[in-house]
Amino acid sequence: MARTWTVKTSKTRDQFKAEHFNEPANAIAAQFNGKLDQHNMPLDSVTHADLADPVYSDDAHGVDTKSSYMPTQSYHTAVWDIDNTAGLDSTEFGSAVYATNFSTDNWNAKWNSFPVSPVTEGSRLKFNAQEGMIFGGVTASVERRSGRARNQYGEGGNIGAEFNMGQSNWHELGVFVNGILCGRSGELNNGSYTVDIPFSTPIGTEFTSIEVKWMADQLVFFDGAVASGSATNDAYQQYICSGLFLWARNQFR
Amino acid sequence: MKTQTIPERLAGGVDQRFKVTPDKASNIRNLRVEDTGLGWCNDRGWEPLHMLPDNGAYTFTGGVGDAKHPCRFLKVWSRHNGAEVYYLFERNGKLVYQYGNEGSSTKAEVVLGTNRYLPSANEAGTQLTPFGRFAVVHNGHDVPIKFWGREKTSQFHFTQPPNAPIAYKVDPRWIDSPNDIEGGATGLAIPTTGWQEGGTGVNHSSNTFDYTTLGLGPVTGNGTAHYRYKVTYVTDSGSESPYSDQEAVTWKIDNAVTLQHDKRFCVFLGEIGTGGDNVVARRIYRTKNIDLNANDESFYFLKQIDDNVTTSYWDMIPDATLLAPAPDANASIIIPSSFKVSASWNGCLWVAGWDGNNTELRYSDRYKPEQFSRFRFFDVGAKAGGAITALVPYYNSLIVFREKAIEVISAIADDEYTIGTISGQVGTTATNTIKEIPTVGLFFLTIDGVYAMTGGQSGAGLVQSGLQPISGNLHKEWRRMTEGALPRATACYSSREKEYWVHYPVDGQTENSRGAVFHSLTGAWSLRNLPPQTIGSTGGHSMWFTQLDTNPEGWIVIGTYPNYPHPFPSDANFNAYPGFGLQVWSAYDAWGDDLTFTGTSQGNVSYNYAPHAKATNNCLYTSAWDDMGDDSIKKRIHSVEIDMVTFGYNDLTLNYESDYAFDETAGGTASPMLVEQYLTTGSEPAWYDGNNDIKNQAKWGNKWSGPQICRVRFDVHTGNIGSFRFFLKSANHFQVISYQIEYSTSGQKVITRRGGSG
Repeated sequence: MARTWTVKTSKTRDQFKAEHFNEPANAIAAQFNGKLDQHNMPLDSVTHADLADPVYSDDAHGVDTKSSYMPTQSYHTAVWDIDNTAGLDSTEFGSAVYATNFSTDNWNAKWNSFPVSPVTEGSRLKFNAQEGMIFGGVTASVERRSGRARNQYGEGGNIGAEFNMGQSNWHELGVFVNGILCGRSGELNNGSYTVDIPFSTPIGTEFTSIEVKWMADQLVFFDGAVASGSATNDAYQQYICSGLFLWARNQFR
Repeated sequence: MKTQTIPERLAGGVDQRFKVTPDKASNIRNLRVEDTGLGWCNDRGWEPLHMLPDNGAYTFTGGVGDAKHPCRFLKVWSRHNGAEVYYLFERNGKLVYQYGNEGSSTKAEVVLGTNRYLPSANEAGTQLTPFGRFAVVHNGHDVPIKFWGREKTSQFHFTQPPNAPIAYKVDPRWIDSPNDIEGGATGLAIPTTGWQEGGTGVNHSSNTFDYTTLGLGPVTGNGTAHYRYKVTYVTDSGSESPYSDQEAVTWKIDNAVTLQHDKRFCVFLGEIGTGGDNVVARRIYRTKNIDLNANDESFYFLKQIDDNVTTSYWDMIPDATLLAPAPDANASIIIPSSFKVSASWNGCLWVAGWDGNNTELRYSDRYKPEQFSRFRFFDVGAKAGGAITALVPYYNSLIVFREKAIEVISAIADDEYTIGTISGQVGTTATNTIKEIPTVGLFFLTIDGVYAMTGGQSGAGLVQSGLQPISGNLHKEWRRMTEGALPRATACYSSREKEYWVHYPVDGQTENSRGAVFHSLTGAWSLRNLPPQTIGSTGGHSMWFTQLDTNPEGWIVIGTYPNYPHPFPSDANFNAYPGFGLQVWSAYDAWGDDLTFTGTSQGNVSYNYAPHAKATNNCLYTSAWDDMGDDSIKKRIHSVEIDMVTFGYNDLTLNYESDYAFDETAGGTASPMLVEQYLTTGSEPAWYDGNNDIKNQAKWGNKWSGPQICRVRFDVHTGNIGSFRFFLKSANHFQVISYQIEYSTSGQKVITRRGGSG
């Protein structure tokens, strides 16, 4: 039973007691905390349609999002692993689904999308959300290393001094829901990490795009002059993602 | 002048007798015992169970309809651990329940029955007895129903046994010249070999098949086959109806005819009766072949048809496989549907109180609540005590209330019962007032007040049941009761209010207007009524509560008689007091909502509604007459100091009377708060009313305190008097906990003596 009626009454000029507020508020709150019945919910509001099996869709919006739409929630996943990247590999690093080289590939000093290609759809979810909340998470394996370079003063090889590069590099992952940063890993120093980033956000009834982006700090610039005339180890110029699993649950209001 | 003060008294309950302890009260009207701090508190009213629209207006679509009719039945029944709560009620013979959220339906109401019997004043009306997943709803006149929740009802029990099926005649001669309808053949080649059990045959479509042992009747000799059939209904509660009449079928094998030799036959049953909406299956029973050699006429279970649609059956079950004997013919009988009381106890449904034999009590088979054996009954008619008026499970017994006696049924073994007598003198006709009060007992109203039954009948007599009157202190109240209309009395126990509230008709009226309340926290009694108002076309604002019940959380739900004692007025005069729908006893600061007619449009009748304000004398505490030990010693009363809970700036006035006179004198006026804080910034924050004399107005973010206790002094100035009592009555909030009376006296008895010859 959930219905409640007047539990305290005050007249004007009566003293205001704390319980005059708390007891009615408790009674109302209790209804929202699960004490519901047909006097709060429309009778027969739970029908067979509400108990229907989930409706499953795959690749409904151009990215490889696997969606299950249920009466009260929907669930969406995207996986980006070595099996759907046609064997991309990196010699210095572990097996990669994504590897970029800052000196040769285009990149931004801020948040970078993983490239859009059929094999990288694991970094994106696209689905139709209903008003409520989105709860989700991303589990990703990412890696950065330092390297070694040599100053080059003139023509010819083996001239100049060698020195280490990128010891203080950092990198970071972020989750964007419709362009809004809703979860981030924080700065990760050199090394190989598997990060788990939870995120949640209110959502309206709207088309929703969730994307995982990365950001990195380093000293190499695309097509720019670099301190290293030649690198003895260019790992510091690279950013590697070895796999990514992204999921989101849309709990309807 | 040296004054004296009586010791501080906790404000007690009502006691209308002479020479009671002076802490008792002469009258307590519409107060409750506050459940945390005790004391008598006047913060109760009633409001609609289903909130009216918040625009202050209400429209009856299609007319006022049944809303003018009294509520003649109310029961809150919950299923699924409270997940479904049904507020069932009857008005104008319509059994309905309403629900709070209308959703997409046109009306938040489900009608379970119409044109039902309207109980007269000496009938308890419709009863609801839960039995597992359903509840039996009956009133002694209409066909009882089982209510399964939501919109499902089904008939309870049976009004008649099934009709006998038709067993079509078996004629073996037809096998002599069979017609092959499929193949258009005029004859059928019967194999000369293999035409026996276990052999292989070829049918007239040239398909081979194995002969089986199926079929009925003898296979050799000039045997006679004779079978009898009968059927029963099986209901949705697992109960089985009485048998239908028997139907017989007979045939004879002519062994001289080759084609009949070694043949068995099937019997086609038709017209197998379908039952009411409570029937979910039919069972067919059959004898084995009854011939001259073996006269076994026993019936055996043959087949259950698991629907209520099929009307035919091909019987090919041989005798050898009939193993389960049919139930005894007395295992299920038709009982009259006119039982007025019922109870669910020990796995059986107990019913009693039909007009034809109102001292008979029948009980169903265990866990088969619609199946009544012929021999499972008691009849209390041999002992004086009158008709059975109620059946109530209590402790490990079933209490059988009669008009002037109380019997008790106990289980002496598994599903074996015995009956004994608790009282041959006390009984009740107030069926709907019997309620269990935790830790106290089973309360019920009789014409001379409320009795409590305590204890129970237990093994080896370890726990003895007892019966005691517990309301002799309200004798003035009980004398007013209308005995003939006592079955209309209603009661409830609220775990929320911690009170047993019994409401009854008085002064020759047949509708309930006054109530008495037992407060289980303190064991005190109080009264619940409204003083008579001017009787005009809309006057007479008594508590016309026809029904009381509580919901699972202890809220008291109230059924009303709108506009009584001027029932069924024109739409324009319909004010609906004390409420046209179900009401709830709550902290609503009004006696329900009154309607004011605003107009009629296309059959829709519209009203404005507004709270029915409480009058000053609607809630009161009246102390007992107190002579301070001796009324012949005269004394002057100077003040009454009441310990009460702080409420704020709404003044209270204390009135008093002297020497049993009926002339109340107004005493002092005071606010229920710490007097030192009155109109200072140090007072507790108060609701602002636009008057700036309140220095500490409640604001969000301030610290709000809880209730505090304060002593409020009311000045009183009497002459030399013998006895004294005071009245505290107000529509403003108060909570009386205890009081002291200050007085002065010379201590001398009066010398002057009048009366008689001296």
